[in-house]
Amino acid sequence: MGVMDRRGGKAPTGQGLIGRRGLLLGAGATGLALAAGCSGAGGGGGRSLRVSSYGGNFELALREHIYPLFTEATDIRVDSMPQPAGLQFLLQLIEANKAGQTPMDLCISAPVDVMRGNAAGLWRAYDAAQIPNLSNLPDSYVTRTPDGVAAVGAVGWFFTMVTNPQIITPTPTSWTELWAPGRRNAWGLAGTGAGPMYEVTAATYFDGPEMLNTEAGIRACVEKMAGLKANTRLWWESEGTMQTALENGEVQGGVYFADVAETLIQSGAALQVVFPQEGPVIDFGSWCQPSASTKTAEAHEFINFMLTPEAQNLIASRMNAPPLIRPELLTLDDTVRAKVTSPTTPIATNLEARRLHMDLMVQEFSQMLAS
Amino acid sequence: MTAADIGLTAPTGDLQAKPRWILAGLLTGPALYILIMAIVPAFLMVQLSLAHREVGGLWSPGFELTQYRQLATPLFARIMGFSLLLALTGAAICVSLAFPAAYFITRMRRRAQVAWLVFLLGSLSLSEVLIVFAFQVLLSTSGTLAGALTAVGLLAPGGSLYPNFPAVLTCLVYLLLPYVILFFYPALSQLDPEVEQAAATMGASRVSTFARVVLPMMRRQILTGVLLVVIFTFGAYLTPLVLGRPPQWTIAIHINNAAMGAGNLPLAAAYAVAVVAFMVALLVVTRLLSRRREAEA
Repeated sequence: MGVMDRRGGKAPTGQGLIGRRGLLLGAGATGLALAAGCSGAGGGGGRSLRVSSYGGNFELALREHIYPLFTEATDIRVDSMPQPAGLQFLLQLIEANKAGQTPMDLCISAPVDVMRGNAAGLWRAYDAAQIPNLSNLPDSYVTRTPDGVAAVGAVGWFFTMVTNPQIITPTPTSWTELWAPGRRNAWGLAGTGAGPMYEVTAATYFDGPEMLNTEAGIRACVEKMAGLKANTRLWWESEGTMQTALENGEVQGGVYFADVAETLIQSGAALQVVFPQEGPVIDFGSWCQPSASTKTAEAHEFINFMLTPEAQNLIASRMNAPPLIRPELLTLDDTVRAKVTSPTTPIATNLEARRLHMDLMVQEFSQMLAS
Repeated sequence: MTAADIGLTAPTGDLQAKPRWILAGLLTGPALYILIMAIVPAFLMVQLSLAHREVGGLWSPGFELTQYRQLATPLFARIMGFSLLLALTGAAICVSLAFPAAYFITRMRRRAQVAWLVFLLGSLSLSEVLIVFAFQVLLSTSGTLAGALTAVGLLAPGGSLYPNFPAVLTCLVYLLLPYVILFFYPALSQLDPEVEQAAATMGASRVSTFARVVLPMMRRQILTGVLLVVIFTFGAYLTPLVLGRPPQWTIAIHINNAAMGAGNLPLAAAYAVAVVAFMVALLVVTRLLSRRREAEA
């Protein structure tokens, strides 16, 4: 979880069960147990690496379009597998790692889970010297600990505004539209306790997410967020719920993942992606290696490859996801660029605030919603 | 609650005749199962609720009451208050629908009774997930019900019948009704018909027989039925999540949010311990009150 769980990673009985990805996530959860049992199988000589990523489009695109190039370049076979998002996955992984049997050598982890994993001694530190392409990545996407590098940014995603262009006219230009008096019951907004609505509010009405580093800042932000309640029909926690609401016309727009919205538009949904002037909120997943995995050399080579402009271009074109390396290294055509980059500067998620005040943020937000 | 309360009476003579060691042998399995599957997790839950929360991480072993202090907040009182309101309203509706329904079923011919029982058992085989999402579709803007209401002018165009409290309540009643009818069925079918015949001979109408003879005789079963629904509803998760707004979120949803959203498992465990304590207290109080009434009667 960065600002919130990606890929519908709520409890398995939660919402999102009918989302396309929700179903795949279920498969991912069972996959974790199954794969643990047969990790030794499928050897057949040669070097290999077991890599998991969020089930659904993410894992599919990586498996089909990006990993084969890595195998071609290094002769290391990648066994790709889906993983669910969320804390449940992390807790299972911590236990599996303690038992010395993790189902994968590398997984994708959201920043908060990188932090939690670090606290639990889950991740093996990388040797930065073995990853020369690390210099392609802005520092904000690299998690460093005293032992070295704990996590390296893999792929980003935007939380941005989506609207039904037939109802919401003219196209909004600012996040303030969410608070507009005429939009009663119109929106589906992210309902996770310490989610991206904090960043949206802080950037739109205050000096930015820095304010969330103090308790007073968090309270002021929540007070402003209370103004969203009358306009919000759905406080969604997993993307499947929001997807259903968008497709059924239950909501006229709201806050959603830009890449999933693109997929919905391609399948005919009356939807448009809006990058407000204050910027979309950017969040990202990182490559992490559980310490029980011994394939350190392969992991370093894999991460080094994933940071090449070649791989990052494919992340943009095949996954509709914003690449994380410095923009000047990318060669994207205009259509792809328009989908995966925001014309306005993205609002970075304030991870420090989550590290210091996670519980307060969740509590204040829940209290605001429940009253 | 005794076995007799819920209409289950097992023949005991046979068991008593068997040597004691056979009985002990037979009971070891279930006893171990209860110990491992219920008591150990409950102990672990209490232990977790006392652990130390690491805000930037997960938790570390400890023995502190920090999380229990959070139970003294207006938020927790509000959530518990709402969960109780939902549970009691649900129980009142369920029982007042299920009791007469079960009564009428027991008064039908045998074949009709079997048909009803098969129908009720069949409806239990539907998954809760399926039912809740079916309700979502039914109540949504594009759903049949909303469409019909819009057509006759009772609902504004584009309006929908959820998320709100009545939607949550309606779905919960639908989910629980078969259980409650099936729960009342054995007791009502064992009710001696001669009692009602006697009432009729003395000039009582069917309605007054039902109200003044059957209902009082079934008081304990009705009370147990209410408790059954209250316990089920108090822990409702999916229905309020899908068909309600945040003010209609039950304690179960907040437990999940604390655990999986914030990663604050000690707080979630403290919530859970409080709910269990509340439920036990509710059962004890109900038991004491009903005993006192019986003593007075």
